Amino acid sequence: MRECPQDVDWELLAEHLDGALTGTPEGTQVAHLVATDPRWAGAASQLTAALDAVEADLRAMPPVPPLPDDVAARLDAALAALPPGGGSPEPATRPSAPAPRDGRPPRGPAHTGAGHTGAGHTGPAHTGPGHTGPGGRQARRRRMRWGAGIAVTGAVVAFAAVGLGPLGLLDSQGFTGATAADDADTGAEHADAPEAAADGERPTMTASGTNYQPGSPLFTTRSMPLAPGQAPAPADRTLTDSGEDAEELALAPDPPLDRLWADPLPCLAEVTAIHEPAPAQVAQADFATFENQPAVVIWVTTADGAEWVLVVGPDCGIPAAGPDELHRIQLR
Amino acid sequence: MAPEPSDADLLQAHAAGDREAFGELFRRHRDRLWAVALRTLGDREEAADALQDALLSAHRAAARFRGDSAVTTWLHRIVVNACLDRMRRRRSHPTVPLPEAEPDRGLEPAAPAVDHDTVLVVHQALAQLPTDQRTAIVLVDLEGYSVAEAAEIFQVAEGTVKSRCSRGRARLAMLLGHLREELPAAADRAQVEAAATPLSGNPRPGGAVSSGSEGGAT
Repeated sequence: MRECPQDVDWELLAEHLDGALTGTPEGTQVAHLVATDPRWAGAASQLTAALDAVEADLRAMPPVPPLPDDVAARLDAALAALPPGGGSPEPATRPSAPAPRDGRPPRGPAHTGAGHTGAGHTGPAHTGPGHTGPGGRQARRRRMRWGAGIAVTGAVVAFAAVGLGPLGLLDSQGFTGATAADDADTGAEHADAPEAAADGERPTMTASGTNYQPGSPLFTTRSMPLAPGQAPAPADRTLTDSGEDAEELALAPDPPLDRLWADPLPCLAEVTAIHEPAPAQVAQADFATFENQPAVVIWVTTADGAEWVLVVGPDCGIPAAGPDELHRIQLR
Repeated sequence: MAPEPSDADLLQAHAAGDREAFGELFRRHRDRLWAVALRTLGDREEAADALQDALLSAHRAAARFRGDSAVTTWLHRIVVNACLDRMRRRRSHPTVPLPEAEPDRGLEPAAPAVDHDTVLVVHQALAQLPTDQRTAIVLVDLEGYSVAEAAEIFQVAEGTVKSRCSRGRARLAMLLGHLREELPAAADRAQVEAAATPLSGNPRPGGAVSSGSEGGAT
């Protein structure tokens, strides 16, 4: 068995042989090594033959047969259950929408997102104003305790900021979604891995219920993040005709936004992933409405100091929806 | 005879309320989308679930499609992301089911000209690649997409796709035993597969060369 030289970076050498390093300092360095170091020269020769063999193996893989009939039938049935023009499935297959707490028109049938149509999504039922269904207010308070065990203070939730690179790999538990091989991989494609923000740059999350409109000055005035523990201005509080506690209601955004409130990280990963240059950081997120529809307004700062506001819908973070962008403006 | 509607026409018709349009769009591309899902996840049921997730999401998101990319690119992106989401949720290497005795089970149909042992070994090796390398190799080397097309689907630079493919192929070369004088005998293959280790960890030459380049678009 031919011994593999121990001090050769095989993946880097493969990039060089494939021309992926052309014009880069690394490419120049590897080319020099191949030209001057017998170990690298020998490895290049071995790897060239090996890569040819890999190419042959991959080319010899038989094509995947067409979509099987049973899978096609299942997908056709799923499509047939959807209303025309997009939107949520027919009411018979989805739980009914709860009545809004403050008289605003409902967005539509209760929405659980395509990513949740599989087994497992059994979110709490909301039965109407005050949500006296299962869980109720105690359940909402408990759901506020997420992330690194950060407790809710008033109507403001502080959570650790993470700068998320273009790959947007963090999931709701902060897990990179990596396999064991990913964890061990030190390839360059991880050069833009998530970075934690420094202390003092913690974003805040509010549930003001404000109804934003395009061109609203609130986009600019809210760009000043609240200090941890600082409550939003009274005008931000959600008031109801029944006089329910405004502060408590501010802790619980409208039901279509429940998923994001309980687990915002997939959405934030999508938001920061589309902002360049990386790493982008979230300064503030306000669970509110945009043109009378449930939305989250997110303030984002990119690595070059530009500041953006992105308004996203309830589907933000669901795989196919991406950020579910509704509106975007650049503040500076 | 009226020309066939384009993909973009069908998507627009769907957004406008045409009940048949989205189904027609899916029928045009479903085999390729299925192939991407199956190769990425390595499991028939997972691939079916991911494709359904993707389909439902695309159906709902169609009205927001801005035409920045081709409709097929958009569909592929949704399928790839649905697969990646499944893999993240699984938090483990995707498994490649062992071939059953019946020829209609497993990943590939019975084909007398195909070495099924090699097919299985290649599938198992692919399953051991890091996610981004695996998906790049699936699209480029197995499904025949160009680097440019794959870059659009992944929404990364072309150099990034090239890098992922190169690194993935190098890992496959080791996993498949091509960096030995000859492929190991069948009795040794399990050892090769079980002992497959990442290629990282080798000292960098001179300490100044990084492990790879993200490189801009070519």
